[in-house]
Amino acid sequence: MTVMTAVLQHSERVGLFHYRIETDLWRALLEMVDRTVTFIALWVDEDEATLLLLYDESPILLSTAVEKRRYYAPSLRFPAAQWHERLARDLWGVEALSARDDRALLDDGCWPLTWPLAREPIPVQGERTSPDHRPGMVPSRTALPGLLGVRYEVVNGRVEQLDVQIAPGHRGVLSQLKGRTVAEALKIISRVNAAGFVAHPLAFTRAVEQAQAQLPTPRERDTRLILLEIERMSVHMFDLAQSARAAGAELLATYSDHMREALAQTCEEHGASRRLTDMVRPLDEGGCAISEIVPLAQAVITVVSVSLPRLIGLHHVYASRLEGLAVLPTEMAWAYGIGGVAGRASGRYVDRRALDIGMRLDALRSSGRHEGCALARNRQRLAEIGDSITLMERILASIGLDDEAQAYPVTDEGVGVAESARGDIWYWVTLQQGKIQKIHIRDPALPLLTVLGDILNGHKPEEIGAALLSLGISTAGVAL
Amino acid sequence: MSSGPSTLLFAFMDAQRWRPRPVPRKRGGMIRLYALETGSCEGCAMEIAALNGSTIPLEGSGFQLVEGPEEADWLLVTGAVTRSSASDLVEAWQAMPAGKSMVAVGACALDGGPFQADYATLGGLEKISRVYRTIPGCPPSPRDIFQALVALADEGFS
Ligand code: SF4
Repeated sequence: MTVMTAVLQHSERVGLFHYRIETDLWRALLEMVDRTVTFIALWVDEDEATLLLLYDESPILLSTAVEKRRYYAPSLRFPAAQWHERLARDLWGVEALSARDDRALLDDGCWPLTWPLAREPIPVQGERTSPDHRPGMVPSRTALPGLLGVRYEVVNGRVEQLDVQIAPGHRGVLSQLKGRTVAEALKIISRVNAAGFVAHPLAFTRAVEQAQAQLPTPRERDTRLILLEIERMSVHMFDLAQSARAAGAELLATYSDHMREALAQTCEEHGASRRLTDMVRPLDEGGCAISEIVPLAQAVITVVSVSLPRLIGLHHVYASRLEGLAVLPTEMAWAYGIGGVAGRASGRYVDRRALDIGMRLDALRSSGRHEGCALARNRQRLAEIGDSITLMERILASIGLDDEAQAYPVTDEGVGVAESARGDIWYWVTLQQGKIQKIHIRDPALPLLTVLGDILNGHKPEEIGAALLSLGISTAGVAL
Repeated sequence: MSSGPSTLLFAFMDAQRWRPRPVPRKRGGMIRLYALETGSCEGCAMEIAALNGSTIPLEGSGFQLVEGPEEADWLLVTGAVTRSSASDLVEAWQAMPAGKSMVAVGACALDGGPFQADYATLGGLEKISRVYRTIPGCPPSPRDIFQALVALADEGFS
């Protein structure tokens, strides 16, 4: 019997995949090793701490009570939980006992409230904390489009003790979602992260559909799968262009820019928005906001297929410039559950698309790499663009193919996932009379940010910009 | 796939063919732009990154994206202005030389867009400054941004 089986036997089942356990059992779970379990997320408010785990590839939620604003830190057992613990501390004022790291992450002293999501936030008096004056880059000045700052020491010309700052990007998304209708919430969720204009609302929509016992038609399912692939190609091209430009490979960057622009124009010419914003809609509102997905998919396949071989050829020419930069070791990718291109280029080949209903599995051919550096990530991106073309061709060949999906009973609670270009996005939603009662989001940048210091320490300061761009990091879905 | 000199040659020829034509401006010299993100989905900041790519004739048309506000004429603001980023906005504005201007790029920078004012967010430039012009969109395309910049330059915006 595995540890997890024992835990589930002594738990109270409170939802379809949701179990509640006593504090003693929670502690016992954190002290034992069970390789059938994978950590995805930890969400904590004033009432309970909830782990989202994969148990034999299926998601389960495991909750325990938060008592006197305290709970035992899952980071003891799951190192990837440490940023979740820090986020919960700043927003709800709950303390993870024996946490690996309890520094503030979002609250940098600029808010008028402490613990803003708690039932009784505390008004702030006095001055804000003094800024970190170590060398580095403030969030508004890194090479990334978003707000990610880094502070570090420089020893013998190399970066050491690098800390990551994301506080300026926090905009209060979770508090703004609470109490909204699904349609209202979707408007905000559609702008959680520009690298997931399709993937974020899709993961949310899937969670809501599970909660409300709805199933998309096979055609709607396939329309979503196609939009997700178009977005994947666009984001990969963006990351290719940015990392190539930072490495001085201007011709490769130019090619990627033009392919991405051609993709955007093709979307626009076929009734979609350029970056596929606001395309995913709830089933109650008629589903995806595109009437003819087939001509769009066909046009995208043509546009990308023509230029992809030359993009791959150019990448070979410039390959040496990215080799060995910003290595994510395989063990770290597994220990922290890092997904997306970063994980797959480091030997952790996990792709949630393989479990999507209606997926044409034979199209997901790229098997991943293991070198873990910027070069491996770009190779992976190129391979995945090729797979996206194949996948869209397979879908078009059998669009609307029946599946065996069955709706769960209505529970008003759902977990949804979508594999975005940069990894797996998860939503956990509970509804009350059609409105959002609880919502939690796990963006794939979160585990990557947790280990960013380990990846970047040892580099020269002038390499940091290119290293960040090669990782394709965005903080918008983490800072929220 | 060939990765030799022929790939480079053909790619170079493609790049020449794709090179966007500069847009002649009616007045003024080089305008230096500094882009500042202040908290958002990053969509507009990604479009500014694309604006600085190879599909838009930014430099050929008399604009240059610079790395610091000290060298900038116009400040391009993206994002809903979080309380934590507000000091960066003020510092950037103060660091710019005289004759400076501010442009709100996208719905967030104008009025917060989808992100309302709350404990963390001030809700766009509308709430904190009168000295700015706007480029609407969520997000505006790189071409929208470019055309708006040309129009602002032509009308003598400063
Ligand atoms: S205006 Fe829209 S696209 Fe631009 S940053 Fe705001 S939410 Fe994102």
